[in-house]
Amino acid sequence: MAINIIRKKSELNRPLVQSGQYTLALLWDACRAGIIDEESVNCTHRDILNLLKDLIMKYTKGESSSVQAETAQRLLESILYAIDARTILFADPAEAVVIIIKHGVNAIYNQGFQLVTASTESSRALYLNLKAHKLGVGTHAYNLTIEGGLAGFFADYDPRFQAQDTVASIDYPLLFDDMSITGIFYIEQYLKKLAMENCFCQLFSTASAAKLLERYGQVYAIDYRETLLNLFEVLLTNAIFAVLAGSKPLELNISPTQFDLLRQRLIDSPLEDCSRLIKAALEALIAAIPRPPIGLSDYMRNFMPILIPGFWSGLQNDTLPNVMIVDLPPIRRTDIIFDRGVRLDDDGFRTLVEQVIDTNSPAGKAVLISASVHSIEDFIDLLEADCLFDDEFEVLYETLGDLELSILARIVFLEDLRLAGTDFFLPNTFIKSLDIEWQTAYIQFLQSLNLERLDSIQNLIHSF
Amino acid sequence: MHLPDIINFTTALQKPLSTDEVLQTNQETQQYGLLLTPGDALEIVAARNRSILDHNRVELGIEAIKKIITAFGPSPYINQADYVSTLNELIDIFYYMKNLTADRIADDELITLMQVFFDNSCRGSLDLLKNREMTMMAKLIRDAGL
Repeated sequence: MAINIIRKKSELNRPLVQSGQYTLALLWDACRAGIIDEESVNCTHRDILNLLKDLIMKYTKGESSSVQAETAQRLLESILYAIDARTILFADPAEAVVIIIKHGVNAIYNQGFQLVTASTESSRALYLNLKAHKLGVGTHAYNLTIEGGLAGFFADYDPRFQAQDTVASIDYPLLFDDMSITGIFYIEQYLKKLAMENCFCQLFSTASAAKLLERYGQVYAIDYRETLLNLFEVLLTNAIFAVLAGSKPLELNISPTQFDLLRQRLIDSPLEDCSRLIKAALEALIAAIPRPPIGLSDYMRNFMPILIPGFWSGLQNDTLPNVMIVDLPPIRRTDIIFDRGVRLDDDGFRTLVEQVIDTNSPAGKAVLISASVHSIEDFIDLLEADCLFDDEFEVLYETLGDLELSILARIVFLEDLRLAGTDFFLPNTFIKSLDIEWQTAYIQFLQSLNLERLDSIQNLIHSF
Repeated sequence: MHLPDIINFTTALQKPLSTDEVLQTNQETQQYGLLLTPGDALEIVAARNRSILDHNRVELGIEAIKKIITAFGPSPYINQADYVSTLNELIDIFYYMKNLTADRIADDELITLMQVFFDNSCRGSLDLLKNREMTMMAKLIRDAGL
């Protein structure tokens, strides 16, 4: 590309746009600022379209000069993603513009593509290492993300034709995720952070981590394996307070005596003192980590703005046992074993949904569902399958016993249970506003029950 | 930059170039008594752009048009009087088939098959080509999972 007019350099800010639009927005900003003329922008667009033309030929292996519009859009986004990957690295946006105009967008694309490829390889290596060193106490989401979601991503990801894609079932939440990133750079940051979190969690024995997590589940009346819990957060929190409670660094256990002493020590302290003590405990913990991976210390320090307000609130409201997990004897459980039941296969489920839709009376629908559904997963899927309307939910709920209703409550009020623990009180939820139709109908139905039944359901909620 | 930008951009900037490319095919087809005027070339490029849009496809360049013109030039069923309208129909069938076969068939292969059917079993009928032979072929390709 010939060097087009670069009349003057002026300050150019980084455009605040989504990924894949950065370079294009930058060029137009440069044009408006008088750094380049409109012809230079058009020329760059023409070069990008030629890149697209070449990519279409590569994509079709030279067998087709045209592709469906969706495919072309995807390929164009892949090109722009790679271009942005390089352009965004320039500290001075104006310099990026000058380089694009001077050397052509093709050179920038090739450099960007190399960055994408390098990130893909480094992410793949990170992933394989993570997979080989999975935590023994992983939740279902953790295991599925590593064994399923990320494996699927690396099987399908193509840095040339879909660099911008982040299509992966990544359910396991990080303590600090950056959802503003897309494509392979998102996957890379996710894996780097997950590797750091794993590294920290592996400082503790599987037995001690499992004991803490089981106890955490008891406090919040949940099975921790079934939740979208960040394991690092739970372990880090207890590890910090264990130091504060007088244990050596890298311990998770906080005994009831330690807890009482710690609470007495801090109960009358101002926030600033508590904050200082917690930060000092964190630094002692960091210092005790042998060969910490780069970034882990800061990653842990970033937790302070979350932990300290949570601790302070717990201290003020006398709910500290919900913030740090104290090693109490296991809570006695009622002997109720929940059988998850046999699920319908896809065809069977589809047929049932059609039958429910075709059934006119609410009572008929309820009978059909009662007779056909034998697992909680199918039951929830059916509630969300747009085959029940208005008062049909209520009629269906009327066919359920207290135990089934308590299972639904544990799903609807999962977060409330997590926060309130054993203090969870069913009538407190009646003011809740929910977006999901079956859940709203469920709360309305609960309000129609007498106190005796509500009490029975509440007891069952706490009993398993 | 989104797809409409691409379409508008290419349409605005590449039309003069495209019509020149279409006119260059005269060098090969004149031996069959088939010639395009600049007006014809414009009409063909416009028809191609409509087909591309109608079939929701993107093509940067007009390679397919040139290949169709070259492949169908020797056909005994094409004459100068209906040359442009036949080409426009063939171009539309071409993009229609690309979608119908979910891009499982290469451009060259598709054009060859269109030409063979057009000259033989269809005896120059565009209707039979599109609605009988090509539709059946697309079904075969889909059923075979090719």
